[in-house]
Amino acid sequence: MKVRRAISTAVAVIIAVIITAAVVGGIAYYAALVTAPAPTPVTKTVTVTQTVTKTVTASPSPSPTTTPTKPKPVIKEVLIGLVEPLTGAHAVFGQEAKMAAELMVDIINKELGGIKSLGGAKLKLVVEDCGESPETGKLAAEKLVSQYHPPIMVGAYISRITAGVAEVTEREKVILVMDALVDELTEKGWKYVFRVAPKASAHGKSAADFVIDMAKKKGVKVESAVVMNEDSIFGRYVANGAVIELKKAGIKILDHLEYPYDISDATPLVSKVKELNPDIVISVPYFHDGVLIAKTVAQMGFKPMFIAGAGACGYTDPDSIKAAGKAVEWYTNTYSYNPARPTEWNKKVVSMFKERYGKLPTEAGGIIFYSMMVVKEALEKAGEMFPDDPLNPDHLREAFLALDLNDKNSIAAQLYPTGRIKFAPNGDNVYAGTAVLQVIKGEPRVVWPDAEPGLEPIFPRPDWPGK
Amino acid sequence: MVKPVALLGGKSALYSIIAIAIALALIPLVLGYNMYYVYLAAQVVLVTIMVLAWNIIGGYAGQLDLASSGYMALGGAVSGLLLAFYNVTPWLGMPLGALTAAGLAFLMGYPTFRFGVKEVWYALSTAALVVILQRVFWLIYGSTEIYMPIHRWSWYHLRFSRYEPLYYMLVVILLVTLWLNIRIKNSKLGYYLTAIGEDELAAEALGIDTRRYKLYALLIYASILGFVGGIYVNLTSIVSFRMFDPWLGIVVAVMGIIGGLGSIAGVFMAAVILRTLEEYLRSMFGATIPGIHLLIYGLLLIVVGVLKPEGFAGFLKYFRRRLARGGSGG
Repeated sequence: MKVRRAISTAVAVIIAVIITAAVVGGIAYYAALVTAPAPTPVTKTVTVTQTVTKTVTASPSPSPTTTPTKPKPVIKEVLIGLVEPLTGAHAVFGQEAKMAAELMVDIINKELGGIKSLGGAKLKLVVEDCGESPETGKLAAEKLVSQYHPPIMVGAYISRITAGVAEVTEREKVILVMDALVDELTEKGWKYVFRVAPKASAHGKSAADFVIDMAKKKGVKVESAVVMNEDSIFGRYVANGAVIELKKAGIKILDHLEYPYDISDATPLVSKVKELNPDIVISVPYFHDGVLIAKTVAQMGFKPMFIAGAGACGYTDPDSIKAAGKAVEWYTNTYSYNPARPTEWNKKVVSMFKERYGKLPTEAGGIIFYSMMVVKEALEKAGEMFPDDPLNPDHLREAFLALDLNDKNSIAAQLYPTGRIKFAPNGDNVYAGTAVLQVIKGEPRVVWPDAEPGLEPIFPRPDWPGK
Repeated sequence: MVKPVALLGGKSALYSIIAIAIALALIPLVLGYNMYYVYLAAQVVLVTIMVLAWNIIGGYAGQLDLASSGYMALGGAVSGLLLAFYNVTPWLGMPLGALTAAGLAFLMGYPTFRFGVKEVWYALSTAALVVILQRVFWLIYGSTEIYMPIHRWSWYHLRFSRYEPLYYMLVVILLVTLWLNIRIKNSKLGYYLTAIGEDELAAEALGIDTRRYKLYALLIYASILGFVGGIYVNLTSIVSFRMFDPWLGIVVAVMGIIGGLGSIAGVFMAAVILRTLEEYLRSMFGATIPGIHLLIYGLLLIVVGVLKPEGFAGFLKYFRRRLARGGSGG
């Protein structure tokens, strides 16, 4: 009896709750729909100070039908949202990205006089920490959007967090300039995302291109290759990029090997590669595995024509060189940013970064350098193309797509490894490419595509016995 | 919060649930349908469900279970992968997820209880379970991240461009979990579990089939989490091996303990307050002084732990006593 009564009250409660929820939810949705045309009341915090000044002068209005010319908005400040992992496991990258972004905003506002086509509007950075999970990433993005609704956001370095952020920006029609490299992010049909940085497969492609280019220059013939990678989503994409490029060049892939990134003994792996005896090896290491592989290769006396790394970690970073010593001599790796690129602005930005923070910029900071500068140049373009409403998301998108940047006409391109930036409709840079660093006499040096002055890549490996 | 004290009693439980239901139903309205706050509210409700579910095994039965995130992620993976790969609706995926989680809980619970794995060793084995699940998922799907399909408003896929629908679904699950907590507390199962939690040997000596009732508690706990996993996955729209997060399992247990083991109102308050506070600190200080929010959060946990070892429930009792005395004296 008692149990039955309890169940019926419980059922009553649940029904009551569902009804309340449905009613309130319905009202909620209706209210949201009604207020939809104007961004939801709470998110309406004024982002761009639009003091409307009536210019009655004959402004070049594209619409000839309306005689009273639209008032041209005067924009004093453009907010740029920055979402980076400032805490947690990836904080090192996020912190450097934030430093780089702050530096770039200062350069744009002070040295370049803001956005000229918008009447010298200044950029203002609003920063949010996205932690280390997709949940906090989404929370951070929602918060930035609801508090400031910036027209453009930059972030979030880690691909799974970026995916969460992109869902929010896509819904809110905020342009997201991504500094995360996993290929999939630009393959989901998102309309408002752009990525200047070379995606993962572009890293693999660059490693392959480097080897093919060098072989041609040195007059040696590469016939076969083995590609191997640590088994992370990033490593796999990088390796696939290399495989596709090598196949295109008619090089035979003897095997594509995957191993766990925390591998503790590389002997079986290396002996398998040695048995296959390829001309070249393209390897996508994490950190520790790279050290192991290099040491094992040296121990087993495996002497291929060349071993090229790809994917921006392992082999050529100072810690790996310290740990592996002589074993990583002549190894290369690909990077999304080339701190040694000898262009006027690149030298300037690197020296300013060094002066302000006392260290050299790495991958995370470098990507932000050119991403922020592309944002600036896209805003310039938007101001020229759509003087009446430059910050409209669709106008911004068109401005990004209209960019065709090279060393001569753009600062952003000067900061970019290949020196060219142009976006495909999916948001990827058509001319994406990386820089290649090589360990020469125990030092990581930039050797390709623009070598440091007076430096030549060492290819093939000097200990290669030849064919 | 509307008189959570009342939750401690059995009679007014109904009114409390209704009050909480109305309060939670009105929250999005009060927050002006601001997406950030609604998303945050959904996160808070989600954690509260986890902690309340944990309360059944951890609070009542006194088993320090650290696998809550494992069961939730498993249910989420089942529902999410079915949706992503086979376009199966989560309405089917979520019960399946609950069933899978319960199945795993049985496989886990039966031998551990049979062979008397207790206390620290039980905690260790449950913590290991999360790691094992994570590795198994990693072996099957690698580190690939699986994204949920994008729909602007689809009840079939449970994919929305706003968070309110999922929030209300979570609220319903929360109320069911709350009601289950109350029901169990005032039932034979609850008394048995409390006895087991107090002293397992004594309970066994009294003739309680401790193995069976512990298993019941574990199954209920795992099914709730497995069910809610489907919503969790749709909320974050991503399935990856990182969902099997050992740290989250510990956080849930810590919240349950801080709330006061077995006290529904205390546990409820602890989850709501701590999760909201955590996010508040993150958004306040995360960008300016990175890491300080973790420090403050940790300090708060220590302060509560030292001042009131019996948790939030201790505070509640204290206030109730003061109220009973007419607010005078201490």
